[in-house]
Amino acid sequence: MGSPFRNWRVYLAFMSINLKTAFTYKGNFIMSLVLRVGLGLLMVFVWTAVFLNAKTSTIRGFTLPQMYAYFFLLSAIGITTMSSIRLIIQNDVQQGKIATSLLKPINYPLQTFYSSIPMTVVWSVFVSIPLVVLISIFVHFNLSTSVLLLLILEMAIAISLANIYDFLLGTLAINFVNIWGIAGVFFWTTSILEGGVMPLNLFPTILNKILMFTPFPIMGYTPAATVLGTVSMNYITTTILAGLFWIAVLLVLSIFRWRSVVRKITVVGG
Amino acid sequence: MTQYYNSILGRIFMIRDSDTAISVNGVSKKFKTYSTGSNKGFLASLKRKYYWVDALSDLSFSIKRGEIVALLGKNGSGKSTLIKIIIGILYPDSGSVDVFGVNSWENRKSIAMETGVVLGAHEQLYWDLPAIDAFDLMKYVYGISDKDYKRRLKYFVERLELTDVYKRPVRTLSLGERMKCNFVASVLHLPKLVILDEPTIGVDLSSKAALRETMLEMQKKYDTTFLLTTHIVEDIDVAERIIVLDKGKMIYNGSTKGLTKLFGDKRYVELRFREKLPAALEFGKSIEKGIDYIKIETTTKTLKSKRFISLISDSDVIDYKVSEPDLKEVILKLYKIRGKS
Repeated sequence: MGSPFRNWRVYLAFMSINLKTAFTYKGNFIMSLVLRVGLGLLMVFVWTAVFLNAKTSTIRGFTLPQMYAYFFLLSAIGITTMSSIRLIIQNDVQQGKIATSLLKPINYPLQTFYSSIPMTVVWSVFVSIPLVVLISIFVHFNLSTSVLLLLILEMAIAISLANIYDFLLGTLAINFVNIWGIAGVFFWTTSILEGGVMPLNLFPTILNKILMFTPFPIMGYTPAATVLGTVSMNYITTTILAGLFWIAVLLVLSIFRWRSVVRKITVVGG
Repeated sequence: MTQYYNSILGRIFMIRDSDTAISVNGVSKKFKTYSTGSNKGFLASLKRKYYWVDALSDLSFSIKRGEIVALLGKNGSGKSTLIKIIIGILYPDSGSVDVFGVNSWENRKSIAMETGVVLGAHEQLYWDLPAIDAFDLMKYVYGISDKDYKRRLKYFVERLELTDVYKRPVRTLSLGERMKCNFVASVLHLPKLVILDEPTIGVDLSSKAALRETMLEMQKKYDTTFLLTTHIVEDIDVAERIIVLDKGKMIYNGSTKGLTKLFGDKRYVELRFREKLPAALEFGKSIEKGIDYIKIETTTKTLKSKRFISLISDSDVIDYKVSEPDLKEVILKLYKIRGKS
């Protein structure tokens, strides 16, 4: 797939052009922001109802304010790890633009990666970081230097995994053209396994232990629980190592997948 | 490893500047497609009948460096498929294609530096941004120096009358303006080979002329090779050679003149008389007729006959004009005759 640092000026130009495109529709940008933060609000209503009915102050170590904080942290993490690679590939396949992209002396998978990164940075700076600061005002958590460093490592792994996932998912567009439905099922499933509906320590013990070795916890539950201090160092280490292992596996898989689908590419028309 | 060596070999061959720009050798390609049959109702689309279609059948030809060649064919004749195979984004089932002496799909990236492609409506512009942003991107993609970039951009923008166009968002441009901007984005790096797939869609007459002149100037100045595909016969007057495809097969490969000669000595003669048409004018098939005018389909043999010479020498004939069948007619006939065989 080539070195990501080679021809950096080319990919910097792709980053710049995609950033310009993203800011063309400012209203759309603001409404997406409201929608994404709003998803955290939905879980607040659900868990308030759960706590009121359970008539208890803690559920598996989570107080109600910690539960609120968990879901807003998860929203912030989800916004940062969100990748648009699959949408870029799907649009390119549907509009036949993938042909013109493949005709350039550039690496297409890297082009999609660098096209997606600017929005990750924008969302993180303008939404995720302010959201975490806002949560810290209402719910106390200890964001020490060591926790911050750990969080940065976890987020780097999560972002890498999310982008490789999204690339693999995007390549399905070469076979199926429209992958909206497939992507929906995929995100619904991974959201549950990442702890998007409930913290993973609320899952049955055996399922939680199995999940520790999958790439899912590091993409949501582990970073959120690290900030809240509701998870053991042993769990964090295991999920970080699992995340690194899965990056390697998925990276190799995506290289082989790309080599195989690039042969199948046929663009609509004559 | 093989790919690595091919790529190195590709670069060496590129440096040698092969005299043959494109060499297509026995290329065939099949596509699997389906029809929904004649059933009506909303379930009809679920009942699909799959079958294979020969997009290209055993195609062979070559194009010299600096040549302008038109690839002509009806919709679905295999033109775009062939273009995609030539530029290395589609793999043939059999046969091979060399571009400047190297295999196109094994050396796609090194060939990409030397080619510029306009794939019809498949744009390389960004819908919400001005064309200048896409041009700037090409500068980095092809490593064009600031000085060259500014000079070339000025030249192409002025040549193609884009001065008031290229800084406006692409979504506000007409189809013809977008086509011209696509062309500029494809040739800013002054490629050795330019492939234009249906480049005149939506382009007005003056812009067509500007595109044509730009192509001829690039050919003269930089020895640029052009392969132009179209289904519009009028667009090919810039080409030195025509390749006609029909149902994936090559039915003609030669000059425009040679194409008209293929149909022998068929001629049209238009005669205008001083007063009324004579009663008997048995020189061929009457195509058009007026009170004092007639257009006849005839042969060169008839035109050379004493009878015809004596007719036009007659003082009753005030004007006459002899013409060859036009290209459109010739090509339609070619489809009819060769397409069947």
